[in-house]
Amino acid sequence: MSDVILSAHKISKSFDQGTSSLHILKDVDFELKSGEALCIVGASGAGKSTFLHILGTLDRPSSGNVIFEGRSLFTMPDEELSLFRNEKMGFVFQFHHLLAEFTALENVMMPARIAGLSVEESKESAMKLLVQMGLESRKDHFPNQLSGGELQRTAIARALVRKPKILFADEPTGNLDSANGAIIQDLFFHLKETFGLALVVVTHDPNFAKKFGRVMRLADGHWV
Amino acid sequence: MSFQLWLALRMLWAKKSRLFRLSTMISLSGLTIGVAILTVSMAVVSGFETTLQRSVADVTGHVQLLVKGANHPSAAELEARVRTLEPSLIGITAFALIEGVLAHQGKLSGVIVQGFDPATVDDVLNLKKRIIEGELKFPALENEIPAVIGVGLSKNMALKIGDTFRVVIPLKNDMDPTKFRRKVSVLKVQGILDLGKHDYNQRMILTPLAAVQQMAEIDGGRFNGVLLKFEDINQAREISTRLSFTLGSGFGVRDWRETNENLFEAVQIEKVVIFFVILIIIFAAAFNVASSLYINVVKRYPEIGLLKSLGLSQRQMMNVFSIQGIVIGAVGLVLGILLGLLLCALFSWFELSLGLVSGEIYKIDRIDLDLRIFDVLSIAVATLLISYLATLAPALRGSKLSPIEGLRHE
Repeated sequence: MSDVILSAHKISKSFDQGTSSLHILKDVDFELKSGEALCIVGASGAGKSTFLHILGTLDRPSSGNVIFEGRSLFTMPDEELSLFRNEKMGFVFQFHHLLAEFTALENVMMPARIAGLSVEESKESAMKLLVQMGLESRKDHFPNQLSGGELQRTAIARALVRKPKILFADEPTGNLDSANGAIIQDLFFHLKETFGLALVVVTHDPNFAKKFGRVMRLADGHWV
Repeated sequence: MSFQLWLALRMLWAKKSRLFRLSTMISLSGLTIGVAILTVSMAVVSGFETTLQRSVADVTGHVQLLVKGANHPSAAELEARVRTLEPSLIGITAFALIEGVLAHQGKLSGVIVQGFDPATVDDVLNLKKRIIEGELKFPALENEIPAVIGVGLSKNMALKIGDTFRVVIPLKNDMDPTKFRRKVSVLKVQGILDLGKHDYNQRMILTPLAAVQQMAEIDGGRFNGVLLKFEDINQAREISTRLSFTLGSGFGVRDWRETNENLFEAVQIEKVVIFFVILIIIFAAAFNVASSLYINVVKRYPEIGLLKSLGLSQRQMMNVFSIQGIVIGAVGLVLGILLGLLLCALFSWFELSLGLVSGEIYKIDRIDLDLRIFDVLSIAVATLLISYLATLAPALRGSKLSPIEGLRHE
């Protein structure tokens, strides 16, 4: 299928526990089309986050492969894989993971600066996103001066600054109250349309999951 | 400023790094002290060498040309020959040396009486600036020979300006070649010199060339040789070799360094040994820097994971931590050199006030500290290299961390 941008084949992940192994994922296959919004649900410990991390190249599978637009990701050398991650993928985590010693603007600029863009270029891109997120007035604030919703919106802006093709979100509303959670949920779909991204979200929230065109359930390391 | 440098500096002095800052300060102090000690040591050894070189050059010129053959040319002839061969010649003065015994108020001391041509001596030697009492003048006296003596000799023999003393010279006995005859001359102190080098100060008496010729009954205006001064003292060895080769066996040629070869070689060896021994302090301090960086890496696992999830490569991460190590090294280096300069100033002050350097042990009576650019560069390169090497292990640990491994440490 020509519009599949990301696929995973027979992904397994296990952790050694002394004499035995804990199998988190067992031969999991996966496909994601360009611009698609997909939600992964499942009970705690089902392997949702682990699978998302492997799809996003933050973790490596014990076996299997992930292919992006025909390129096998885990055979790339570190330099190339890091650049790929920087250019093509954005991540939003349950906990915002903003760098405490940097302002909101500097946090959003960070992926662009890592890519080697100039301060001016990075600042321009970051400011546009902060304005879109309604955080223009908070640009010089440090993470400890921002509310939960503002932190997560800053993290989303950071994930989008390199204009990625896929946005991965791991429980993005799990740490927010219902009002802020709803705002963030709507924001994801708005951004998906605006930026033409593919969206892969892991969530426990059934109401959030309902909003996706495609929902996949993981249980005991398999799709069910 | 490059991104990696910016990130390294921001992460280095961040609030989160309080423990790191404390441990960094401690390791930085070690590095600073090590660099300061190395700086002072190099300044002392180089100062010793420079002081020695200056005093040797001031008293013996850049090159000594000794006349050995029976055919004895005049000073003017020698000058013409040398000037043709070595156009960088600045000055030439004839000299004659005799050894004798100084007798004064019941005390005896072995001395070297060196005679110079008063008209040309200033072209070659820097004796005027070494005069500490009286003057470097040799007026015609009725019964005595005017002399200028070393400060050590003046103290040992209790000789002051205007005092007279006797010098006994052993001369060949024409009647019986197996015996010597004594020739006693009376000299009068016109000035006292600080010749810089202990044995010069203890033994040297300077008089006009004609007086030495008269004291030693040297006929026909003969002299031992000439002292030469050239534009660049550092070229003296090459010039000496060339002159020796060209002038042939009738002359002995040696440069200022050869006159004290063993001493200068010993100083050079000592300098290298001191450099490497004191470098061990910097090695030890660098291990502390490595341990501070390791604390920083471990405390920053979540940030490392996050930055890698945003696309920072292993190489970039390695660079960030290496820069931190080098920055700590550079700060230690600058502070150490500044502290070293302060200690040098204190050393000079104490030396002047208390006379720390014993001439009997160190061959010179004082050291003018000399911190050379080459020494500073050697210290800088060694310190930065050691600091960099010390950062490799923690930097490698940080760079190898997988993104998710780091993020799980939140």
